[in-house]
Amino acid sequence: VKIYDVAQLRRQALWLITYRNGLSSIAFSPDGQRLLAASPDYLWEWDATTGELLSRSLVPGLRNLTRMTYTDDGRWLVISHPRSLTVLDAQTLRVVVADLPLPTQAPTDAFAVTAGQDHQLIIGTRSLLTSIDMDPQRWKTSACQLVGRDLSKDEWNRFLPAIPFAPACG
Amino acid sequence: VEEDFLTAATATADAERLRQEHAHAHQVRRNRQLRGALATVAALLAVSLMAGTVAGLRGREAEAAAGRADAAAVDAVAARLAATALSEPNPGLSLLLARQAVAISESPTTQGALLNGLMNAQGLQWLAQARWGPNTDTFDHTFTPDGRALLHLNSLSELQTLDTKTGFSLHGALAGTTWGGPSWQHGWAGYPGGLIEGGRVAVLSHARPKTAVDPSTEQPSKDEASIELLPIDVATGDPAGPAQRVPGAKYVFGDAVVEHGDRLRISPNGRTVVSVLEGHVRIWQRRGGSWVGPQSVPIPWLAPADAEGNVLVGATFAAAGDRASIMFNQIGSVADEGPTGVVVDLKRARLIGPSLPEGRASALSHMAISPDGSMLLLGDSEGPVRVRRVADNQELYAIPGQSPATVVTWSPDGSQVAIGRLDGTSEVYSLNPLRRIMVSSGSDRVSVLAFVGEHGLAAESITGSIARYDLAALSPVATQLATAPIHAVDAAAGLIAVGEDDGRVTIRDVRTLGRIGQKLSLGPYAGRDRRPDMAAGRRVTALALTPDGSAIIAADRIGHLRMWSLPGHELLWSRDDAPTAWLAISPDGRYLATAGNTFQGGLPDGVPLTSSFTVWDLSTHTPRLSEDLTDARLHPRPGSGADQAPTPRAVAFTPDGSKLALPSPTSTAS
Repeated sequence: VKIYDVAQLRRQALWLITYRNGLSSIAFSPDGQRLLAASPDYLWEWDATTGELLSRSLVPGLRNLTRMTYTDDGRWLVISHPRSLTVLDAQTLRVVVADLPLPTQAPTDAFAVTAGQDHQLIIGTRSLLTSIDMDPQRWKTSACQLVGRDLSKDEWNRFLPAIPFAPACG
Repeated sequence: VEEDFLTAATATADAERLRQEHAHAHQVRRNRQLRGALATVAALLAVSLMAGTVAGLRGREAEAAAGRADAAAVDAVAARLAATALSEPNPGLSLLLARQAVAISESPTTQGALLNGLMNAQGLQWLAQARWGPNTDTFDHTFTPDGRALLHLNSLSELQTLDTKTGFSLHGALAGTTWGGPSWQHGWAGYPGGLIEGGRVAVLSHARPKTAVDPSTEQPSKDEASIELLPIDVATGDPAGPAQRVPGAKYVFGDAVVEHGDRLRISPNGRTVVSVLEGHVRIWQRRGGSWVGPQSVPIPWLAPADAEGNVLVGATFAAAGDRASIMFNQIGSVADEGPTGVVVDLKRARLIGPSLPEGRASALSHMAISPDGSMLLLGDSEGPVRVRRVADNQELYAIPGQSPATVVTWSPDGSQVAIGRLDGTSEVYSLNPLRRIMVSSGSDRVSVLAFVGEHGLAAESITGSIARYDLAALSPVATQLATAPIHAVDAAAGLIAVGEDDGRVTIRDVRTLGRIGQKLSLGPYAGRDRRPDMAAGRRVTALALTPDGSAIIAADRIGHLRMWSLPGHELLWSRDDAPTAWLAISPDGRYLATAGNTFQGGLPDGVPLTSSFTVWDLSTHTPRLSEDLTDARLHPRPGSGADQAPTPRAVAFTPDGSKLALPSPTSTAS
């Protein structure tokens, strides 16, 4: 990775990171504090000002990464693969949804991913433009509306026997 | 009774096994996630236990530690519930469990399970397995309008009504279709002719030899059979009236001719019967309790040699019953050319609209006329599905697809279409604008597909797997739009910019995904070269909107770089010498960074010659900073394809626009 100072129009790199297998994608965190780069196996995270390595995370599927983006709220980091998405918690870089399938019809689907506005994620494939709502608060409402009912007492006792009955959809 | 009980018990066991098999493919992926989640649970429990131990040992910190232990235990319960949700096969329950996990403890782990559940919510209500053998013929099965029963023909030519929820036959083989007749009857003894009276009555087409079968040859002594219609009450399986004679309808066989005959299809209003025989569409009308006809409509473009073995394979009717689309095939044709189709005006007994498909290079796989009779839905054996106006054959919508469309159908109100494909995929689109509503995957060819009930979709695969979907229970978190292949996308200021093939750029609304204005083009490109390498060069590989949405910059890998104003589409800046793989606009809108390669031969699958990046000042459109990234050890590298080309693979500005980062895929050490 080479970092250039654009404001000063300086030609030389501010700092330089090398990784022997090459880096396939790069992104600044929305607050500008951290720089993230993907190599075939690891996600590397540096302090964007000093170049100090902050973390190195083993993430499956980086080898066939097509794009990488933060959501506009900085909460999620989304990595696209030819046929699926991986969603990571942007703070910890832990995978929260691996292999989230997007309906595509050919392995050659080129994924193009970008953050929209208001927690939206925009994904382009060979045959579809998809917008995913990445706001966890709205997921809660959506899930209840979608199912249109709540956990029954029997279901609750089956899955949460030790906890008092308090279904979430209310 | 005992035997019935045993049969039922075995069948229940079979159904359970099948259900598990279906769930299995889904679970493979879920289980992977489950393992990860369970590891998390174990770790959290360990933390919880440790915290508890610590609390016991250190008196003064006991209270605080106990609090931490409780929190960790709650997190562990939530994480375990989220993991359970991932492996729960019932989609509704799975989603409720994930939702409950979030309520117990809101963490990225539980939220992730909830997102997974929402994205997988494809409205599947149930799966059943047809218990009477797999399908034999693609277009002969029909779901009742309420979706409760399926008129099903098995490989023994037995016709049944199946309960779609269990897959069991409701009444056994329907009248006149029990296997066991002479072999010539195979395939003709009983045929589903369609459903009438709102699906309450099934009409069977039934061949009846005109003379007795000769016991020595097991062949009828005359080479023709007449065909009659049998109405069957779907609810009881009993005849709903006497057999109806259809004058002139016949089945022809013998040594001299290819076996063929009238395969009758009845319109849902019960007033018209159609067939295709010997190069003619044949139409009967119901008048005064009997069938009158046939009126014969020649299919003029059909060569006489092609006409003999024509047989109807499917028909759909407009709601008013005045038009039908009819598909027919060649029996015993050497080259399996697939069906051909016509649209017929049933009142005036004439063909309308163009012949389908144009010419005999048939790519038609299935067709259906819209309920109002004005549009045709045409499935293609290559994958795309088209909606065309009957009157002038103008294409109204093109729905892309890679797997051959095996069955297409309209919703009763004509606002939606459903497509079943060879690879097992079922899709639903709404029209005006074209938007994908649902997609579900399967493993075997979809052979029957129908909109049923209030907002349901029913599908049967060639292996007899019956799926029922609720279109009102589809994931609300994802909105999908069918488009041309997309190679680049950017969003800013309420707009989405999409880069497609042939240098085309589309601007869309970020909320509705609806298109704004006309398409922009990086071209015109010289000639219409369709070589893949040329096509690759013409893709819009990179684009970006200015942060305020007032302009768009797009580029391809063979040198075209364009900047247009929005929404005016005025060309602000244009270069033909800037091959670009990636580009980014600084958040303050002052700078543009581009990175790309030049190639030997000029096309992007050639040997990459140089690699560079440039920062442009957007107020003057001049380069302000550029660097040659060409690595002498890698350029040129004979035989390396585009994927190996050491292309800079991304450029990123810091949010304050002061710095720019660029990863290089080479192994340069410096």
